[in-house]
Amino acid sequence: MTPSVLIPILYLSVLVAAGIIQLWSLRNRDRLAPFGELVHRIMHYRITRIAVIFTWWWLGWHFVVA
Amino acid sequence: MLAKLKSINPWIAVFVFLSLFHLTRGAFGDATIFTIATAILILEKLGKFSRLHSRKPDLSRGLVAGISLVTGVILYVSPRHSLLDAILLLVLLPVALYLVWQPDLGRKPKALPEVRKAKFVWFYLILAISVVELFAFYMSLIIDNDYVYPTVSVVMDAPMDNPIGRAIWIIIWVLSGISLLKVWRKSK
Repeated sequence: MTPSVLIPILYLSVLVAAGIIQLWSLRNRDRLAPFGELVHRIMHYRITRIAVIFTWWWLGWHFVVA
Repeated sequence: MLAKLKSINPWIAVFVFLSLFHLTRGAFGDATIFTIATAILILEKLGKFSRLHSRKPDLSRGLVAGISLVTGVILYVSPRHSLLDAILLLVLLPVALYLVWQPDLGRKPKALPEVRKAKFVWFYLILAISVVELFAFYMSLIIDNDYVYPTVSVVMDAPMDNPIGRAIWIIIWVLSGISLLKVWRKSK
């Protein structure tokens, strides 16, 4: 398998793993908090909110504008 | 020394790394964005922004839906990398920051075990994709070819130039923004 195929498969694997973990956590909230709950918690402090919003905004900038 | 390192906010450390990373790869636009963000985070850590507004602004759902729709349509209809996209994004950034600028409400309560586990799991997922991305980036530099070890940006280029792929990406980006800004749920 060439790296040009393997690397996208690795990205996809992480995405699929994230999806499976999220679905599992939605059904097992008492064992693993869903992603939304985690984000809600980390957004408690303003410094984190600013950093998260910058990161989200930059993804828009990077893929659409830059 | 160790105590000093421990006292550095992890977000500031990550943003300093990202500023330097983009600077070394010659992406001066991205380096500028992360340098500005780093400066804002440092000023925030030093307590320079404490008196902007006291509570989270409450927006009507109609306004949120309208702004989201206009944003989505402009991003979809205007050509990728256009000036209009750039202006729109530059307008959205201060608006988004304003919406999360309310002061902190005391100390964060102690995390439940399931939240601690989730933090651990998602940290390693993000680390995994970052390691693959960095590996692909440096291999592309070494062999001077972007397509043998494609970075996320190179992989995303084809879907972003496809109308359906672009629509899906815009919907995900706009909805995640609404979710992060918490502008849809009504304050009690």
